[in-house]
Amino acid sequence: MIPNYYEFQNTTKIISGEFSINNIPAELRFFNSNSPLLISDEILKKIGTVSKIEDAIHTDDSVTIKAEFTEVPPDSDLAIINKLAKLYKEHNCDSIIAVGGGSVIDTAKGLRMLISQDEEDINKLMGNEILKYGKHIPFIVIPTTAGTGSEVTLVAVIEDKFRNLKMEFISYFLLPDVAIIDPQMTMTLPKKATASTGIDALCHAIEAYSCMQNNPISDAYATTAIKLIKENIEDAVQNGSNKKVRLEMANASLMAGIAFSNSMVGLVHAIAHSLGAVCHVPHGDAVAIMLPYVMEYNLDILDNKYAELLSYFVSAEDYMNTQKEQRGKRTIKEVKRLLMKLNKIAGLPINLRDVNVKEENLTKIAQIAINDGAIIVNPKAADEKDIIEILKMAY
Amino acid sequence: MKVSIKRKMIWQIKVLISKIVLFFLYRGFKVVNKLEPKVYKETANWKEGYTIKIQTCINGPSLLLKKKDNCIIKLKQEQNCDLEIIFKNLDTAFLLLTGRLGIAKAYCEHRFLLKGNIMEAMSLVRCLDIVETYLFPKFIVKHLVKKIEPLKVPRVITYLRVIFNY
Repeated sequence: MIPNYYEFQNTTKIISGEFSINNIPAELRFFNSNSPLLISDEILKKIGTVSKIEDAIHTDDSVTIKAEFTEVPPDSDLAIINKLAKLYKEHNCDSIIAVGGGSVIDTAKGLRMLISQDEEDINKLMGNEILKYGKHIPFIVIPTTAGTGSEVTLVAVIEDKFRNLKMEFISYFLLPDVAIIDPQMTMTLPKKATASTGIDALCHAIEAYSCMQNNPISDAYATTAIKLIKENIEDAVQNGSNKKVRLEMANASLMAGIAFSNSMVGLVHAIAHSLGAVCHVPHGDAVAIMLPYVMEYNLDILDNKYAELLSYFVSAEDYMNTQKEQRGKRTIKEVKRLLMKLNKIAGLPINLRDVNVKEENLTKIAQIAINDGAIIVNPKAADEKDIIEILKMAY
Repeated sequence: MKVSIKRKMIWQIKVLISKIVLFFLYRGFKVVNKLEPKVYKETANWKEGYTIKIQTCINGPSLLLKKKDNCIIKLKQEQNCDLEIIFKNLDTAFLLLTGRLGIAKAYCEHRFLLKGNIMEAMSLVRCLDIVETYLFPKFIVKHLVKKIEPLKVPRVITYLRVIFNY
């Protein structure tokens, strides 16, 4: 059904396939760029992922990495972005390449925003869709996890540790120019990280499909992502060296990213962000724990939407044999079943005790969650008491 | 190209109605802040001097609010506010002001630009949902908010206090 009104945009060029990282120099040439700043993190440097990108770039004489920064912390930090802006200018860089997960990509988005908007006070850029088209800085992203979807989203979250403030930026001008999905980039991802990032992507797709701003275009991306994740996540965990499976999971994550970049995520993410802020629970773990409980909470409003999703979790015959009024509940059951399997094969946590959340922190988690931007998109209202109840169920 | 007379007239009528509704929205916010503990609890968490601008479109009518001594007051002078909601066009703002579009739905549909801290905006959204519950009749409110909060005082009392500004 077509909603009365919706907006959709995805301008990022997607290059997917084995050895696609070798296209980086060609893509930079399209933008008349030859001096990129490469951004990544220490782990990726240590395990050789960054050197694969360096090799891919330097094989081509026309491009030289002018500066490299591989110390991005697990949470994107304003101080690091300011440091990078200085580095970018000092080395006369003309483009940005980000290699990593959510924090590396958010850091790179923040840097690009700062340079292109020519604004020294980042606070003035905080908000939703307030950026104007600034100076174009070519921006290529190579994700190394299959979960965040940051390579195709319009959101960046940057922490100002000095003021203890998480700043959220939403703008179509944050979308990277190119996203390169190469299966060799996610091959080294450990079992548990593969499981939790995969469930994060599944949650992006489910929430994008069921929240208040779903639309037919984002629905198409979301349902394809769900199908791909359901078919590949167990294989990806158990047989991480299988390039085909890794490529399918990376594409699923990207599609879920496109879906939620336009339709946004809801209550699961509002609570998961808060669990990260208060108890430092890794984002994928928090999402995996909360997903079925929030689906149960939303069931009375979203029964039909969840029922529609059942066809992506079970066979056509099984779907037809499930009574219409049971399909929504059955979808939740299938999500739980998948989480239990991943718990067995990869140690994915399934309750809040598994990740050492203290019961006395539940109120604080709920207090922060109600102010998260994702909560407004959830179709069912949730106040502090409701969230505490959900957290208790997940405990 | 000139704007057609029909469009010009519709525009002027919408501007006029928007100004009237924004005025009553301010009075409503001020009164409900006194009557409804849930709204008072929200505004109590705003820093003293916190300013909010709701603008119907660029160069359209706007409402500037400020928290002062735990009350909501209206500002006349344009200034940079802590939080600004700027609708992309007057027609969309008009839908919201005339009770045909909820604030949460408007946010989800990217109907307005939001300048400032998104987390702080969530508190304003909760306040506006409650203010709308007091100002609009139930058959309209049920389309605007996700959950209808029980009223602490009857709507008619709220209307009287809004009209007589006390």
